[in-house]
Amino acid sequence: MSDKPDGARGKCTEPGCTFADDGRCMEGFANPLECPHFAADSEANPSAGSTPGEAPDPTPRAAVDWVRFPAGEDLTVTDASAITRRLLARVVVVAGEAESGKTTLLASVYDRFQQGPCGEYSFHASQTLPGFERRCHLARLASGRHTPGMERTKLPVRFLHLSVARTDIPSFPQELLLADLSAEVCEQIRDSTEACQSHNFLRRADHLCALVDGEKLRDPTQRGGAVAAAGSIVRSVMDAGMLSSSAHVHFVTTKWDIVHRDDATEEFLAETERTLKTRFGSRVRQLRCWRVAAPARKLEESGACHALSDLLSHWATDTERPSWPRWCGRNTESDREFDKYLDRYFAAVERGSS
Amino acid sequence: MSNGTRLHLLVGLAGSGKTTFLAALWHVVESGELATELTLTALHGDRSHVNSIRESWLACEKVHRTRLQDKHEIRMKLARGDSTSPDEFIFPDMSGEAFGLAWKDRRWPRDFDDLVRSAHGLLLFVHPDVVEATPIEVAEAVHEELADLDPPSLDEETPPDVPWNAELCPTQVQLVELLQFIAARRSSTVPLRTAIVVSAWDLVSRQRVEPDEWLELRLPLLAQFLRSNSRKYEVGVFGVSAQGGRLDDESERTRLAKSIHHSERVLVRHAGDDSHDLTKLLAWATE
Repeated sequence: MSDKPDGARGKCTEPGCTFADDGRCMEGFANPLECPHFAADSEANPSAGSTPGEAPDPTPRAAVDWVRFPAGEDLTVTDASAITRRLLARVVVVAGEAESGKTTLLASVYDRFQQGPCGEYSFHASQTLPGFERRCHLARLASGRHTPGMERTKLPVRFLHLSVARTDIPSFPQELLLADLSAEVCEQIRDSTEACQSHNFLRRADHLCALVDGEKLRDPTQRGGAVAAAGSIVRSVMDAGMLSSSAHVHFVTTKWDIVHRDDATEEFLAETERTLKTRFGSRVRQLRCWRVAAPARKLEESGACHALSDLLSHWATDTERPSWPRWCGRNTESDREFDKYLDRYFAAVERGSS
Repeated sequence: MSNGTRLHLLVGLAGSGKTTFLAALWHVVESGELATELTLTALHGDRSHVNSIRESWLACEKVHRTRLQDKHEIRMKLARGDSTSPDEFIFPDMSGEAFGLAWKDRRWPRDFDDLVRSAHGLLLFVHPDVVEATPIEVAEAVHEELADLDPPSLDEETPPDVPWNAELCPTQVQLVELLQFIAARRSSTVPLRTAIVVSAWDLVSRQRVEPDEWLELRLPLLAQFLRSNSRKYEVGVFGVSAQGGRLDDESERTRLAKSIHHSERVLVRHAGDDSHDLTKLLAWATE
C-alpha cells in the first residue's frame, strides 16, 4: 500500500518512476516536491521566474538555494544594449518581407558551426544557444518533418548572440548581435519614416541585410515586388537618417537552390544587382550583393552560390572597429551616477555625429 | 581546502560513464595489480559507496546510475612515484541527470556551484553515442540516392511536428553550455585543466581514430569552443573504456568476468599511447 508524503499530490514525468504506485521517488528524494521531474498539482505554486530574462521555475520545489543562469533565449533590445556597452559587438540587422528567409539565414549561420568551422571562423561562445536551437529545430530530423521548416518570428525585435574567432587567432573573438525582425516590423520600417525612427537599434547597425526572396524571382509577376521591397527597406532606413555612415549594406537573395538553374532569372537578378549598386552604392560605405542557399552546402561547394562563410566573414571583419562602445539607448536599469553620466555623454556624441 | 587537496569535478550527461570510471579507478589504485603513475598511499574516510560500485564493476554488471538525490564524495590520497606527499583527490559523484537539468532549467544548486568555483580540475565525460544535429536535407539526399529503388514518397505521410524541447538538442550544444556556465561562475584567471574523457572507447577504437580526432569529427562545435577558449580551459582528450567491452554481449561479458587482473580490462588511449592506467588522467590533470 503506497504511503505518499503529505501534500505531495502530482505525478512524476520520468519514465520508469513508480511514485504513482508506491510513493517512492526514483531519484531518491524523500520529499517528491524536491525532485525536478515531479509535477505537483498545486495551483498556488507560481511558475514565473524571479527576474526578467531568467528561466522560470519549471515546477514547485521545496526551498533549495539555486544559482540561476539567463534563459538563453532571444535578447531584447535592452539586453543587446547591455552587451554593446560591455563589449565591442557588431550588430547585424536582417530585414525582409514575410517568408523571405530572415530567420533561416541566421539559424543557418549558427547551424553551420555544428559541422565544423565556418570558413576561417570557429565558434567561440553564445549567450543564446537555446534561442538558436529553437530556430534550427524544424530543419532537423528531430522535428519529425520530411521537409525543412522554420518557426515564424512572432516577437517584433529580438537579438541572437554569436561570438566567433578566427581559427588562426582563437583568443580574439568577434561578438555579433544578430537582429531577427518580424515581418511586421520590417513592413513598418519600409512604410513609415516615423516608425523607422522609433527603432533606435537601427542606428547601431554595422550591417544592414535586406533580403530578396529568391523563390519570388522565378515568377515575373512577383519578382519586381520582391526587389522593390528590399530596396524600399534600405531607402527608408537611409532617408530616415537611421543608417550609420560606417554601416555596410547587403542585398541578399535567398533560396538560390531553387533559382540558380533558370537562366532568365539569373539574368534578371544580375541586372537588378547592377541597378541596386548604382542606386545605393554612393550613399553607403560599402554595398554588396549575395546569393545564398542556406541549407544547400552542395551548391556552395559547386560555386553556384555564395558561401555562408563569406557572408559571416564580412559581418565579423568589415566596418570600422569602434574605438568606444557605441550607445544603444538609455540605460534604464542603473541608478549609478556614472551610468547616468555615460547616457548623457553618448547621447550628446550621437547628436553631434548625426 | 587545504594544501595538497585537489578537487576534481566529474561532469557529463546521464549515461556518460562517470560512476563506472570511479569504480574502475578505485580498483586500479586499490588492487595494486598494475604499476601506476599515481599510487594510493593510505585508505581513509568512508569508502562504502566506492566499494559498492567497485563490486558491481568487478562482477561485470552495469554500475547503478547515480540518482539525483545521491550525493557521494569519493576521496583518495594519491602520490606520484616515490613521493611521500600525497595529494588528496576529491571526486563528487553526481547524477548526470543534474547536468541535463542544468541545461534545461538553467540553474544548479548552490552547493554544486561552490564545487565549481573551487575545482582544481575537470573531467568531462562523453559517451560516443551522441545526439547530433542532423539536417532534414540528409534524409532528402538519401531519398534521392534510393530513387531507383522506388522508396515510399516522403510526402505521403505528414506527421505532426515534434515540438522543440531542450532535451532534443545535440549533445555538443548541451556540453558547450555546461562549460559556459562553469566558466561564468569561476573567478580564477588560470585555465581549468580539463580532461575530455570519451567513454566506452572500446566502441570507437576499431575506427582507428585518436580521441582528439574523434572529438573533431563527432563533436565539432565542442572542439571549436575548447580551442577558442584556451584561456579558460586547458584541454587533453582521452579515450577510456572503464569496462573493457560490452556488457550486453554475453560472450564478451563472460570473457571480461574471467579476467585474473581486472585492472587490465581498462583501456586508456591518449597521445598515441595505450595503457590500463587510469591514474594517467589524474597525473595529466595535476601537471
